[in-house]
Amino acid sequence: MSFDEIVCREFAELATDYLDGAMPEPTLELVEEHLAMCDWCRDYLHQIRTTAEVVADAEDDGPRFAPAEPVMQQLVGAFRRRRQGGPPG
Amino acid sequence: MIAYKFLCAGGLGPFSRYAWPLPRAERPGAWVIAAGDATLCATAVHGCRVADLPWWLQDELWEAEFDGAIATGRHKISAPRARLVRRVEGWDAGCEQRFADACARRARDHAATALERAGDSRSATALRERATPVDIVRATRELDPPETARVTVAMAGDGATRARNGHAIVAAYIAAQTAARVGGPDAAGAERAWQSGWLGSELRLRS
Repeated sequence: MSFDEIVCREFAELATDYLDGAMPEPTLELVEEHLAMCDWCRDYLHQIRTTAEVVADAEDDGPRFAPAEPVMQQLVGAFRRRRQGGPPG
Repeated sequence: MIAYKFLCAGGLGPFSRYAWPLPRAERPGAWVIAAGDATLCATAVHGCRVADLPWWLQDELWEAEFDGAIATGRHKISAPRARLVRRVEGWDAGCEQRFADACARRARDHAATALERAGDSRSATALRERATPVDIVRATRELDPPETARVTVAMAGDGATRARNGHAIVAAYIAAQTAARVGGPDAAGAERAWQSGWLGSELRLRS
């Protein structure tokens, strides 16, 4: 029996490789052994998988809820004033 | 090759969330076929032998047929295709809890051994007398173990806590880690073998 294993912090660094399917077999087995018993890392994986799917959708379709033009102008103005150090208005 | 597959409730793959085709009317489920080269884990179908079971506990246990070139990993097998044959009905919440409790008692015994080696036989005896996870947790909190046994006793308490909460897979892991702390890597291997033996015997599985 090998005592190789990964801990949560290591999984956090490997999570995107795992989702990309870009992980060599020995590492993959360690990761899945860890995932099998770690609720926190499974939740974390679910979160970044969901985030990746949402971002991919947004890239495909553009923003789904674009603000109306006047609202957009107000937001851009407030953003510029904030960058210049002025009050948000 | 007949081997086993742990799935989440509803026949879902625990990592892929793939919905496995379930057997119907005593006929096996449809074959699940890997996308590519079965020697590459990401594209193979995975399962486990009886000896691998303690690493992969989930809600449902299925007997499965694996076909083609079988690759063997540390604690799993993979093949180009597999199908579910039958559910192992004996693996349910009650069985999982009994297994968790058994693992908690094993970790307790390893901690008691550590106490004896540290010269605290009285605490070792007191700990061994506790049988349920609740009582083991209480005992590990009441004891004031010698420094050399302190971590092992705390680990036994953690294992019992996880067992009490129904986390059998973690209780099993902690039992193996506790064994390793007392007896080294070989003891951990023996602990895992004991666990798979318990599961195989309780569930009458084919080795």
